[in-house]
Amino acid sequence: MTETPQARRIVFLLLATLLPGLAAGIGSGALAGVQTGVLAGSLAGIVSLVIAVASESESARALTRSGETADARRRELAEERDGALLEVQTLASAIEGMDEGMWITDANGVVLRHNEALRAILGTDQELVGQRPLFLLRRTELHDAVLRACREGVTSKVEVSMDAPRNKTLEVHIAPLGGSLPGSAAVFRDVTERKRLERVRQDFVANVSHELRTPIAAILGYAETLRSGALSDARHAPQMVEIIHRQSERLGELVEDLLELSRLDAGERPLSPAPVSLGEVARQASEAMEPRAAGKRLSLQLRIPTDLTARADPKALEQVLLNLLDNAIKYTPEGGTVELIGERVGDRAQLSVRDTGLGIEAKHLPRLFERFYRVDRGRSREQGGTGLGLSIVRHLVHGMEGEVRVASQLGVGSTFTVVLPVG
Amino acid sequence: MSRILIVEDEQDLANLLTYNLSAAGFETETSHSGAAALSRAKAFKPDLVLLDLMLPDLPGSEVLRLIKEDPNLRRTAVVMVTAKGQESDRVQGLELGADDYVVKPFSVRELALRVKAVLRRMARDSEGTGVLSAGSIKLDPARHEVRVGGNEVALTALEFRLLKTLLERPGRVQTREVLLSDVWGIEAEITTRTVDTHIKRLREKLGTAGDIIETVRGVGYKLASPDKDA
Repeated sequence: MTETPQARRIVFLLLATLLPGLAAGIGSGALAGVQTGVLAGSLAGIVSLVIAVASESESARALTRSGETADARRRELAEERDGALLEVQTLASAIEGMDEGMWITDANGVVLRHNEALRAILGTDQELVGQRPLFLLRRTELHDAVLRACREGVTSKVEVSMDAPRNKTLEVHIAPLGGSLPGSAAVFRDVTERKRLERVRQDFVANVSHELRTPIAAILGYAETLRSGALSDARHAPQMVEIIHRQSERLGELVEDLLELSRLDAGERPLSPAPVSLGEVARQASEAMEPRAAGKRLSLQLRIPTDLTARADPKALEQVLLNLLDNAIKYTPEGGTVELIGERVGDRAQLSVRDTGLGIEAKHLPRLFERFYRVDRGRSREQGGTGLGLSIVRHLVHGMEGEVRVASQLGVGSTFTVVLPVG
Repeated sequence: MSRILIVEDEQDLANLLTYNLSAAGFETETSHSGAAALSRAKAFKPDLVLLDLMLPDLPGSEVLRLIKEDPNLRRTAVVMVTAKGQESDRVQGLELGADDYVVKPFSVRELALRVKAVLRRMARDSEGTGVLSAGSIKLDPARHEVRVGGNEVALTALEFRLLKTLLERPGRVQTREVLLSDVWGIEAEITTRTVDTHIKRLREKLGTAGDIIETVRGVGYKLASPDKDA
């Protein structure tokens, strides 16, 4: 038999009607029921086939009746076939062009075909056609979902975590092919990055909640203690009021930093980089910090060539330097030195804040600019840090198309370097 | 005077707790990290540990687990203090054997009341009408001791109280809610899996003798009365 679209349609109709019949038969449970079920299914299939054939021949008869020639009919069929072919090609190229992976299985859940994206998502070179989901991914929940789609027509969504070395999370939508077609289709989406961002967001929210609640707990707790009698405790009451004041300040700073970060995130603070004299900006920043440095008997030194310029937003750059100087002063013991050094390296201008402070262990350096990351939480709090300063610094420097680096040696000191395009 | 170990890395909060609990008549000590708390607890032998869950060195849940596994500390009551509002932390803490929890920001008065309530429940554990027994299980409230067929079984304070409660009410079904309220003193809408986790652990520790604790599906638990079965 030559394979024509009609012949294929008839086979499909036969299959499509037979299979649900079989399923119904199996579902009926009793052995006798199975027999009659199969029979009923087969009968239904044959009846459908007869109807299909009948309708085909009816349309043929109608054509003959209208007096048209066999040629005309062939032309019409050819058009129909071309139309169907175009549709199939369109669908096929749409599926091939998808970012998501896709496979289609037969009624037993065996993969019949798939697009190329699926191979990339699964990170495999192996042959997928002819395999079962369990073999390909070793995840029973996916396997079960595919079988449910094939056998019960159930649509479902499962999340599949792939072990090392692939370490991916996939979201898979599984659906029966629908209509009278046996089998199932599954669409695979790589949601690894989305999951990671979700975790980052959750961590951030948990951190913010902790950071906000701690000063609030102290303020509320001491106020409550004073109110319920400690006010007349002449020895402790002034300390409690002092703590309430300090913790309120801390809360205020935290809220300010959070708002600043959120403005930077939302792009609500546009930076306008222009040629800036680095010596000038550095001088302003160091003058502002001079009293604090003097209070700790630190020597604050500036070594910047007068003609050194960079493309930067003067306000943002000053804020960056204030932040870095503030840290340097906090973590440098009395009598130490904090230097602001400028130099030109190729087409970049560098500004470094170097201290003779406590230094930072190497393991902390890669995470130092993360929000709320602290080398020593207790020490950071004693110093009144919000845990957000360096991440604001990084944000601002990136906004000026620059980068910020840190080098440090425990017990020797740290150097934070801002690199900007030369102005 | 009951002894309380305050584990809190935030100095201002540690001082706040110390001030209020001392005023309420407790003897207190403070540790600022999980590791320090574990070593301090061994020397100080507190009746209760007030444990912040966010510590600089160890997760608070890990400190809790180590306390509950240490033969010398496992009977110490633990009240968790946490800034995380997430219920999952509290549930995890309760399943690990914490006796109660307080969420930051807390009222210092409420905290003192909760601490007192936990200590009262602990004190009640050693009261009672002599030795309770069922099958091969013997529980001696005065000596705070459980034996199965003569061998001592190491239980945490919560497991002890759970078993004592069941032994006091043989043959009567105890719903999860009743157990949460009577054993944990919790009226909250906290998940009832906590009860199941502890029953499971208790059964494991009791070995085959633990079969006497029956599950009443969908309702709760019951101590089978051996007389009736015989």
